[in-house]
Amino acid sequence: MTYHRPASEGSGPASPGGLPPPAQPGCTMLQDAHRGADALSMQELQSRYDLAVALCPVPALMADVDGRIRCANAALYQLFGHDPGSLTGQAVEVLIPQSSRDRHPILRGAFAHQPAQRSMGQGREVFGLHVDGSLIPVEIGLSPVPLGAETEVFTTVVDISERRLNERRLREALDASATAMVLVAPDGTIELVNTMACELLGGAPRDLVGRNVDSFVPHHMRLQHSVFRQSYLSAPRPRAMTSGRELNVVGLDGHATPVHVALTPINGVGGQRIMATLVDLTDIHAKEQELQRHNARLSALNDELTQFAYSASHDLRAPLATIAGLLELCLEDLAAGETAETRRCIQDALTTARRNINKVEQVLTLARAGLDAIPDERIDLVATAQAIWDDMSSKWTTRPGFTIVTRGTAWLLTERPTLETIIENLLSNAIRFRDPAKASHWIELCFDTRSGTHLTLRISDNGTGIGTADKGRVFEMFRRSARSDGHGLGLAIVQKHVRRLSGDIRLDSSPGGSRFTITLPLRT
Amino acid sequence: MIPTFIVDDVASDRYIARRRLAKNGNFHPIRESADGTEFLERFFAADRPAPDKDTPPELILLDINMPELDGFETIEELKRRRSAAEAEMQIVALFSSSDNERDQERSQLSGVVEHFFTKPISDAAIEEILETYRARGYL
Repeated sequence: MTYHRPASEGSGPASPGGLPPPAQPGCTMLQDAHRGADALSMQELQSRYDLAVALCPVPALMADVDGRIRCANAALYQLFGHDPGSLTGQAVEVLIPQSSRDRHPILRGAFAHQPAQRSMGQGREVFGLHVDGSLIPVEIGLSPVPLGAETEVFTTVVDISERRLNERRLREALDASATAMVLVAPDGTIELVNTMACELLGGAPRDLVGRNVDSFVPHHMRLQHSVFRQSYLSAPRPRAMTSGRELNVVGLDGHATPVHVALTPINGVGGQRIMATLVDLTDIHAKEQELQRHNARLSALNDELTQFAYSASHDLRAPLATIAGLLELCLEDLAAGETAETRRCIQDALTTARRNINKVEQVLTLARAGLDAIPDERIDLVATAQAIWDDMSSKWTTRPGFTIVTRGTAWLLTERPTLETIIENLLSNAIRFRDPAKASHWIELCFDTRSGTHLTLRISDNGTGIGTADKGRVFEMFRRSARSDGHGLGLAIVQKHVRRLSGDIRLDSSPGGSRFTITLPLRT
Repeated sequence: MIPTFIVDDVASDRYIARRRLAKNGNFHPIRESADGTEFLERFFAADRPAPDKDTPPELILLDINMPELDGFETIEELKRRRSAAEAEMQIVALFSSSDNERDQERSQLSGVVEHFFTKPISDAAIEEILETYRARGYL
């Protein structure tokens, strides 16, 4: 047991008899015993005190100034598990846990020096020692009682195990809450925090309790917050503190967390308090951002689909319209006996039809890009590009000079067919758009992974380049160069495949040649 | 006779248009261009004749989907470069492979396009164009 000098000691009201009135249960009896002490002999007085102790309904004992137990009641024997009567004559330290037993006589001496009725262990947990060695949380009341020239100490011991258990249950319930809870006194002092609040505010309860809530608000808002806090006290009602706007709490570690705060006034036994409930918005924000990205992606897909439908309605119908127009002429020519013209129209219709079989396939390739799941594999970029080049350039009699440059590692974890389609289309364009005015032709493919975060793939050539008017629209479907005999789908396919790999594509072009720069996130 | 300019990147489509116009017999001379840029170059050639009140306005048959300058972009350029007197002497007809609403709307908004047809060009479409000429006192 530990004696603490209470803050109010010495300022408490004194009873007419010079002693403060005993406040513990059973003390009315003691008062009766005390009354008329002058008229009684020491022995009679002592036996009255003993009777009072015996009749006291809570565990109680009487000890002399040296801490020797003179008597204890049955309730106390029961609480501490000692044999009835066995404590008489023993030092009170026998009821005190080993850890604080040594200090106790000093504290006891201090009490004897300035005796006043008070409780023991204020503000901290006090334990009694059961005979079996277990600790009992207790609350202790001390009352000095005069016995002639001597002063004895009437001591009550209340078992607060049940109360402690309930407190712990409540505490556990608070700590189990997924939201941070901070109980704040009217002056802004934090009185209680749960586990989530500790996490959010970056400290243990002992670091946080006692601080002012204002100190957890970002610096520039502290003054404002303290004004708000005080105005809230004048008309407290449950409400969201952060409705419609965002607030950051700044923990002891300086880490700022976006939160939603709700305030609830509590008017309980201890006076007015405010319970602030804080919900960490970090995850919610991350999810919101993810949702926004998702929406942007969907919106882009939707635009793409609209464009696809528009282009398809034009470009898939176009060859059919041409064929229909030619066949109409055929019928008229046939009727007129113009076999040469008829033959020419049929030939044209056939050419148009054949050319567009391939177009339909390309449109399907474009439409399917992004639909099928393709497993990632580790790709040797140089070997892959070289193989594509060898396969493609073999179809051309004169081919440009081709170099592959690598900076950093030349390995990439990605979808092989998707990457191959990108490189194939860009190389095919570079071969087809050679500039006849130039004496020699070259194509350079550069892989740069030095950033560690992304692959930069550059395909440069000294071909004809792409006019400024066309530059912004080269990636549109069916957009083709006047010099091209293609379907205008190659770069649309490239862009869609680059997007599939979460990358970007950019075109730089001049009459000196074109350069496509693709950036792909690097995964290992 | 109506002087005519066919602007289309698909050779077969130009051929079909030329045959249809020839069959009708009201169109001459017929010039052709495979893209908008080349058309504008030739159309605004320095040595072009001044507008003549006695010849009917020139018919411009324009395809929408073309590489480089498409039909709409060609029209914008045409509007920018021609004089008010020249504008009086031109009738623009768009030929599209699709009857897409977006295209029809754009045609109307251009303030220049007087006819919008889907391909292939038919005798009926040509007859409709001729109506416009007759309504203006030509032919």
